[in-house]
Amino acid sequence: MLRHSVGVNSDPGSSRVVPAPVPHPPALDLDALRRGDPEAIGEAYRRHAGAILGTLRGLLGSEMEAEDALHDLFVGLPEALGRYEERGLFEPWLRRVAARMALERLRRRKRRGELVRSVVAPASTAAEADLLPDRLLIQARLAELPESLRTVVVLREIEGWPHRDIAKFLGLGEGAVMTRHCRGMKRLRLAMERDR
Amino acid sequence: MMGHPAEHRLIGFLDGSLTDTRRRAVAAHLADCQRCRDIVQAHRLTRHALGGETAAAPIDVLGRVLATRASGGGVILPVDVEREPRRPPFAIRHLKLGALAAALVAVIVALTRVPLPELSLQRGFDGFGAKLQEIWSHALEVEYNNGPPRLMQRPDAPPTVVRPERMREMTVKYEARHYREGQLISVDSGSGFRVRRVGNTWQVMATETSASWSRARQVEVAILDRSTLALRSYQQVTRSEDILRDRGWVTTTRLEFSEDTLVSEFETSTRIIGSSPNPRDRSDSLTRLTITPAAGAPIIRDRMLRAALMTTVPMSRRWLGSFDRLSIGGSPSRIKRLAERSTDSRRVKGTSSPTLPIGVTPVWEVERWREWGVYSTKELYRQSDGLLAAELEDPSDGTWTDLRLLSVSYP
Repeated sequence: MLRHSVGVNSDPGSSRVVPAPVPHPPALDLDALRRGDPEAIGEAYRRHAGAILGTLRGLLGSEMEAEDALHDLFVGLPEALGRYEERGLFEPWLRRVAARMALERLRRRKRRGELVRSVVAPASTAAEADLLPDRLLIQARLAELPESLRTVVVLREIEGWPHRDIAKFLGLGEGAVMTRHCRGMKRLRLAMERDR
Repeated sequence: MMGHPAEHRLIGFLDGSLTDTRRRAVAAHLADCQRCRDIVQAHRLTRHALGGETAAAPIDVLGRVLATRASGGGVILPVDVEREPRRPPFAIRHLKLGALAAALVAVIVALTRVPLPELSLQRGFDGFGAKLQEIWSHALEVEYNNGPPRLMQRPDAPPTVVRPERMREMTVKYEARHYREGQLISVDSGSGFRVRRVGNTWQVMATETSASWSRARQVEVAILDRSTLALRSYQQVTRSEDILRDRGWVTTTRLEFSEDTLVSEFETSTRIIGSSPNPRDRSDSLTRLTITPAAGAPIIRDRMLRAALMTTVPMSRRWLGSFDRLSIGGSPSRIKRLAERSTDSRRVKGTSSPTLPIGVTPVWEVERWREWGVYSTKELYRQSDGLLAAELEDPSDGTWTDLRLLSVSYP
């Protein structure tokens, strides 16, 4: 049985699921973060870095480069916060900055003619693939996608952006984004089916 | 019999982006079609795997973040750029230098009319100043003046850098990250320059550090922001130092501008002291470049000259035609080559952002492609959060340099 509530009654003998106390962590101290306070940076990192790293890994196709980008993101965060106007939520803003940063890196890489180096070890055979949980397997397969498809798939499937926003972000038409999304997902599906 | 829906319809069905009519049609089809149900199920699993639980980010990255910040490091994040700047179209990239130079001159001239803004201060400069002092105290000066190098004692005065006219006394620190084939090959931190006015002379002391041998050949560019300032002297030392973590190179450059005379010369020299595993770095070279402004059209002449000096003079014949005289020193083959191509790729490679008018422009985003002959470079300068960054690309040897201005401070 699925229970969607997260809090449970403190009485261990009770099976009644209570509706709320949704743990709501105190808001980040953005002023301290702007000042570059290490504690504040650490707190922001603990809250957001995991999810952002997933996105960076997906976009960049390389664990090492994703960590490098994550490093840069948090190094530059205090200064960049000067441009954050608090009109929206902090986390989506941060994730957009991270995505932009990743795309900048991809752009540079493309100009350098560099090949994507997948550090998530691609499982080349079904036998190897059996050893990997789906989560790792999908990362490996994602890293194998061409950048044009991977970018769209990550922004849509991991970041949950609407096609329209992706189109605007990448400077593409909405139709092109939908096509790339579909192609990318189809390739992933076929790859995953081969692996299973 | 109705055909199967296209896969994008099935994906759209799954993520709820179909219109009601289409969604109903797909649902009806799925009720009867095992094949399409399997596809949808496979996509569902794929999506689930993609959006699964996220693991915590490695804590050592946080450690590096804090260490980088503690050492005064900074990164400029792309906060406001909604759409990424794109490479200019083919036709634009292949415009002749004349057009590019004209555009560049227009930009520079416009920018030099902008009042000097305050750049945001960033802490951490004291360490750099000490580093600069340390480097300077180790460096011997070698003076090149169209003759054999002359060793000089280091001056007692602390190293300083000049900014003429609206430039004030200031100290600038920057970092250069060099990449080759995607690999970070070196990080030059501790580079920067200082500007100081002594009487009617401005002094520029630039220090370039490089942890990679292949970057050893770098020639600094004079910053000249005012046509009534003459470059009075130029000295440069490139030598190996153990100050850096590994064996690295430190290039120190000293420039002096006098306010008394008109610009008549610009000289630059480079010489590698020591040996390098990279054959390209093994031979010393000495280059003297003298530009004498043409007699006519003084305003244009001055602007051209200013632009030329600021860009380390990758010149076309057309551009050279603006001057009465151009003399280039060095080996005969070098002179011939330069005269033929009117460009020196190696020097362009060494061009770095501090030679641009940092502090002159409140907002500046210039994307400039220079592509002719043997090389192309791209330089992107942007000011963000009060700091300036630049990217320099040199496809001829596959290097990519990311330059970041770390701090600017005023006395």
